[in-house]
Amino acid sequence: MWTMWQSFRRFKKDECSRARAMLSGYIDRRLNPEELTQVEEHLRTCQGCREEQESLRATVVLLHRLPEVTPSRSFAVAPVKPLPGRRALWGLRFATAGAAVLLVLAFAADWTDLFQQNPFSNPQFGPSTLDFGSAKTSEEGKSYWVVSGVKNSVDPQSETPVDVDLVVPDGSDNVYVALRSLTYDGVIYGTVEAVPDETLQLVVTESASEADARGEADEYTVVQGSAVQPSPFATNSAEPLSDIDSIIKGQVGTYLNMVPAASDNNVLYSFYLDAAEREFRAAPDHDWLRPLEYGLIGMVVVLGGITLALWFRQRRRKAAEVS
Amino acid sequence: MDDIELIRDSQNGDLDSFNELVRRYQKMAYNLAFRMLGDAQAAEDATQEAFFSAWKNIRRFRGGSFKAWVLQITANACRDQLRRVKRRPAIPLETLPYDPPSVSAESPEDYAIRKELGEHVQRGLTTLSHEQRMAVILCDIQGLSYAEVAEVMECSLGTVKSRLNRGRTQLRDYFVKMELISSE
Repeated sequence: MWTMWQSFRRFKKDECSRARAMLSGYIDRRLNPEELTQVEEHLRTCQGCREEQESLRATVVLLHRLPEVTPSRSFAVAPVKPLPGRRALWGLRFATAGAAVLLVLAFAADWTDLFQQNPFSNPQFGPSTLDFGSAKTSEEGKSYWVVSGVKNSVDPQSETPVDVDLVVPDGSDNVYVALRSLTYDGVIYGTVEAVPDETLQLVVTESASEADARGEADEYTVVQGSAVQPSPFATNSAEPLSDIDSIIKGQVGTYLNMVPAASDNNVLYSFYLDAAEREFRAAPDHDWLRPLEYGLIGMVVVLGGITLALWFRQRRRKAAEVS
Repeated sequence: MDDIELIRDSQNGDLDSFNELVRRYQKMAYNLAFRMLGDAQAAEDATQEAFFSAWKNIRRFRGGSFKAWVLQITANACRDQLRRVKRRPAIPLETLPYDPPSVSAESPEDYAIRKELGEHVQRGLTTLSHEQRMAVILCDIQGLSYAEVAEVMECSLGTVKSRLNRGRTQLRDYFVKMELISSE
């Protein structure tokens, strides 16, 4: 008997659940005829579901009575005007890009020494500087310059050192070569050759490397700026020369006072300068390039900053318009 | 001019035609937003966002019910607002700053009762989940059919019925508790 009662209760509960799931549709008259019959039959016999239906209906009625709200403003969409400064922003973008491209080109030119001038063809040291003129090419393909303006002649028989006054008259009769005019990147390797002629000429031959310079001479000395040392240029004489001022500093350039070892008509002078001398002789041949680079960096930073600031401002304004 | 012509002109870039559609549907969209969010300012923001989005996407409208399309966009704008509120709860949903317009021949007492009722119902709505609330608002306050509600909420008819049933039951419990309706 108890089991039968339990089964009946369970069946009734299932029926109530089914009916209650359809109550909303019943209230809204959205049930098909079959569902409608089921719900109506159940409501006739079930007090609880009837009450449920009535309270739900009251809820719906209450919701229907809710007044319609009126917005306090219109939601019409305003025509999107072009943001002010848009054209200026494009101009700035192009200007920044242009400055950046120029900067890259300037860096590339600097890196590749595009504007490096040949110091031989363009001496910069005023009247006290050698004018080597245009380079000539030897049969071996090497560049050389014939130095003109030599005043003294060479006495082939003389045991005394040949005095050659080239360019820098300093009151002595010694030979001075403005090395600074000969430098590439701070180091020069070269061979100086005195050639007897009706008027004495000094031939300066550029060597590609220190080894080449050494190869031209039987003996060599690295010129380091000491006051007196054996001649770096003596080739045919076993006796070193002592009366040589290696390097004179403190003037416009660096000068080598070269005195040949013997009164030979074809004495070879060979020299190169070591690293210690580079700084002293370093002369930028493209002074305008570095300031240009700094100027362009400044332009890119300033223009880029303004462009970014304008861009952020426009984005904020756009976002504000959307919201 | 009917809606179809206005929609066609809007799709050709005529903003005036679109704004005529805005004028026709803004009250409906605003009511959905207001009942969903329970705050006039948030509802205005959501509605404006919805119409701005509708203007931007008007070319994607491929016929059917424009009303359902606008409500669908508004519903999405409301969901966005609710997510924002959840993340940064600056707008208390319980606040109800809205005063319903008074009807002529209505006594101040009647007006006060109506206002209080409106506030109670709104509070009851905030006890529902977002999707149940939306189903109840669309069906019982805005009077949309089940099919239209399904289109707006982008779900099946069965889901609409289920959300509506649960929403109404929960709301009924709240109203009983607040003694707005009797339990029998």
